[in-house]
Amino acid sequence: MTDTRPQQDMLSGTAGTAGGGMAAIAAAPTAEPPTAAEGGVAAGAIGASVWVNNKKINALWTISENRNSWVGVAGVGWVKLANNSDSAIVALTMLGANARHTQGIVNYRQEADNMLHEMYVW
Amino acid sequence: MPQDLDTNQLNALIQAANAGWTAGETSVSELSTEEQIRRLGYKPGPEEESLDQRIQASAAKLTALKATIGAAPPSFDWRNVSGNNYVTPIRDQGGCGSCVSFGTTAAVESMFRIQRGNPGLDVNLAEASLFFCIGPATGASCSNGWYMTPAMDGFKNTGVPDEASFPYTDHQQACGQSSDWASRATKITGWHTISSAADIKTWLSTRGPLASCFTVYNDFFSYKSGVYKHVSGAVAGGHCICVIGYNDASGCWICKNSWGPGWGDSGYFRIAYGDCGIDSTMWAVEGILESGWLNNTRVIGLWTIDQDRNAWAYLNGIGWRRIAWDNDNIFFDLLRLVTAAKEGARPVNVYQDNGVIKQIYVL
Repeated sequence: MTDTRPQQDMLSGTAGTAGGGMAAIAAAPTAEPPTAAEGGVAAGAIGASVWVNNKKINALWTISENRNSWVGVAGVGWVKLANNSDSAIVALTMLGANARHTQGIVNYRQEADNMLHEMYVW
Repeated sequence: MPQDLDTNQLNALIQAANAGWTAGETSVSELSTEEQIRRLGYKPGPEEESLDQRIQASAAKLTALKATIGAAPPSFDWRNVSGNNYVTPIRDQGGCGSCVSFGTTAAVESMFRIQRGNPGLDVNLAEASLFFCIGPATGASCSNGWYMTPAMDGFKNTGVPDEASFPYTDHQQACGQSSDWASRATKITGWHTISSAADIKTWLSTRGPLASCFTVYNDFFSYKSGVYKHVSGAVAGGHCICVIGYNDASGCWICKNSWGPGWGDSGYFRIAYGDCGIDSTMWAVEGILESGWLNNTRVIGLWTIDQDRNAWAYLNGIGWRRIAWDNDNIFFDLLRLVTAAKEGARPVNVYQDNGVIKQIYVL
């Protein structure tokens, strides 16, 4: 059975391209805080492992289904959070909520399953 | 002076050899031979090269070292990285063969400042704890000296507290560190040796200082300035120091000694590439694990991944620290407070155990 997904539009944009960058699976963070000089998003196709950088979260959604939580990414649309582990999806949801609340810069890694698997919030 | 030649004769020999350094009266040169030897203390361990092997390996490396010129920055000095000094003050091991403890601790202290990105970090770790508490199990004593492997392992497996926990004095003594030393201990994440000339310079110019050991001859006690190259005198013994940089134009390593600021060039010296076994093998500290309270900091970044209980907080001026993952409620309670602190831009006091956030106040 396919999980439900959010149906409502987000408050702002739903289309656009996502960024490219290095594909890396790490057990620890490697990035340093962004500087004012950094920014911009390189072009890249969804469907492979890509880093989407310098984004903001402007909506959140979840439902009473097992491990089903999404974030709305400005300029991108709804992105489902990785659902392979209880603690991982809760941690991702908490960081997504933090990003929504603070409007901090978000860099995230999206895999071929189109789910968000790793996230920085600054 | 106890060595074979007086200063004038030694300087004449140095000039005749075009060796490029100056001898003079130092805080060590006027000591008796026995007292000078107590200022050393490196006795290679069973898995380490002998002093003679180091000398041969270094000499054989000279060609490789010359080939590295141009491949890395032409010079580097951790005392002046864009105006910042990441080297802690010169210490004095006095009349105890504890150089291994001082050379190792100097490398760890600098790595601490570098890892924090804070050249002003007030870090002063207890050489006495490393030498008199960890050392005896592998034979360390003022008269015997010590070797590098157990010193680095001691920093990795046991940890060394701050200086106030066991202030250093230069005589043989029992372990006398404070009862709370464990909660004040600094550990390192790991260490390894580096032998390749290119890798030594790359590490020095990108990661941090290195501990190293070499053969001391009697003329070294009179070193005042310039690039030291052995000219005269018999072997006094093995000695460990901390290499804090290099200079290709002068063909030398820049080193921090542990004989007080009255010796050498304000406690430092430069030694020629390939001389006395200095660059045969060096010891690299990979990183610092910290324990204790970090007060009045802020959470400025968060990270998580699709792995069980794996989330990190970036503490301002300190870096990434992992959130304790003992069980679900511990992990989520801490993560919630970390995110709350970031949301409210609130100051936090964090207790870290070996670099893991175990307790947090959000103020």
